Amino acid sequence: MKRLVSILIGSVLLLVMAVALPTPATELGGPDTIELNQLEGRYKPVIFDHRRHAVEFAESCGDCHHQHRGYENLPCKRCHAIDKAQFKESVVRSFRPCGNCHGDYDPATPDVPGLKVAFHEVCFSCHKGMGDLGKTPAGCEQQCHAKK
Amino acid sequence: MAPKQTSAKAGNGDNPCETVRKLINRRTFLGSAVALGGATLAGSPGAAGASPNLEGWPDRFGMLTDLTACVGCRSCERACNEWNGLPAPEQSFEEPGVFDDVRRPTSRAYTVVNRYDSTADGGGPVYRKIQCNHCNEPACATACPAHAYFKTPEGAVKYDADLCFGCRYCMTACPFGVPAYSYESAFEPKIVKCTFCHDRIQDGRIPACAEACPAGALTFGKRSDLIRLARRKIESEPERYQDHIYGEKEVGGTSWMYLSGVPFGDLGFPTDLPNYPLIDNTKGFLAAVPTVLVVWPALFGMCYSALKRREEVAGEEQKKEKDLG
Repeated sequence: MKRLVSILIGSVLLLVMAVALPTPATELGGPDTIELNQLEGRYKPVIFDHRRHAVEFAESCGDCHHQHRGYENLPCKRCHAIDKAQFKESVVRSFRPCGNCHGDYDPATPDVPGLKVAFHEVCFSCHKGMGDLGKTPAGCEQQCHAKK
Repeated sequence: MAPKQTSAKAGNGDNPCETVRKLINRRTFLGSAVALGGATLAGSPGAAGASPNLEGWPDRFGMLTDLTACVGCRSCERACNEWNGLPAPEQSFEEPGVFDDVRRPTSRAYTVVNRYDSTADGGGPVYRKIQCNHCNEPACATACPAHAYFKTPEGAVKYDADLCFGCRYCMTACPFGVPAYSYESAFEPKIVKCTFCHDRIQDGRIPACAEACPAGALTFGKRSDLIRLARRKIESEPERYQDHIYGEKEVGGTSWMYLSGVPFGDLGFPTDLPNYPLIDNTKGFLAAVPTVLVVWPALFGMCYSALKRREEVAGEEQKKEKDLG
């Protein structure tokens, strides 16, 4: 009986630890690095160190990514709340991070930025003011975009 | 003061000229002229007979410039230069030295970005993009005697160089100092200004500067949608934005509108502009010109000839009486 109780307590403790401890990005299914090459006409691709940003800088995924809680004012529900089938189709089956909604900018929905702006807005939320970014045009090259 | 009867010698009160002379003596004439001048100077829109209910093209486009988002990368300047085939800039688009001067659009650049040191605590520099604001009722078009300017249903204020004869009234009339003149062109100088990428809009694309902006500082869309978006932005982040959409009402509203974190006056925006179109300042006067030039000469000419005729008749009668006597 004692043995059974200690196994049970041990399992509960392990479960609590697993939930409480920060989980590395890779274990959540996120990639280690992402190559961003949408501006390859002008710049070399940006190798974004997703793992480092997730583990070292972000406190939660929600620092950069939309999450369900806290985003009531976003325009997501215009499409995703129409009916269950549409929700499943748009979110589950065809889900692509960011690009699913932030594709090419559409003037009909000015509150949904295009992919380029969506990326930069997240980057600038921390990087604006670092080095020369926001001070001179050279800051773009200095921070992320190596010239071709 | 009631006009007094003038020194009419003839006793015939039914004479139309007498009536006119009673109504329009020197004093009332001067009074009317002063009143007309006063109305013109005051430029009251109501008195000027403007169209107060004119809403403009309903689906016209606009651009919302969020100055709090701009990082001064000058991608918009480069994109504008490339799309419009403008001459290469004297300094490259990465050159930070250009921010040392406050620039304005020229014949070589439809748009420029200027840097201002922020007065806010801990704030970095603030950037302001300048280009034609594509007014709802453009003063340049009002001032142009050759009808070289016209407002398109899409919102763009366009300019036809073939009609322009180079008077440059538009440069004086523009409250934002936007139209530039290609002085360097000896034989075919013309006015140069932003076209709102009207060609791209007609093709279903967005203006080149907005497409190039990585920071979300330039949002293109229907003007009415953008005003709603701007209000939502101010409401959701009141600490970030001034509670003012510059261009929503200035000079009767402009296609290009701005949100800022610092007072607009600190960024060189003219803050003394009225909320009514500038054409209302001159509409009353211009409407009175045909009246003054056509009706008055006819009226006074008629009066003069009638008086002269009467004098002639009186002279003849006197002569007859003399001959008889």
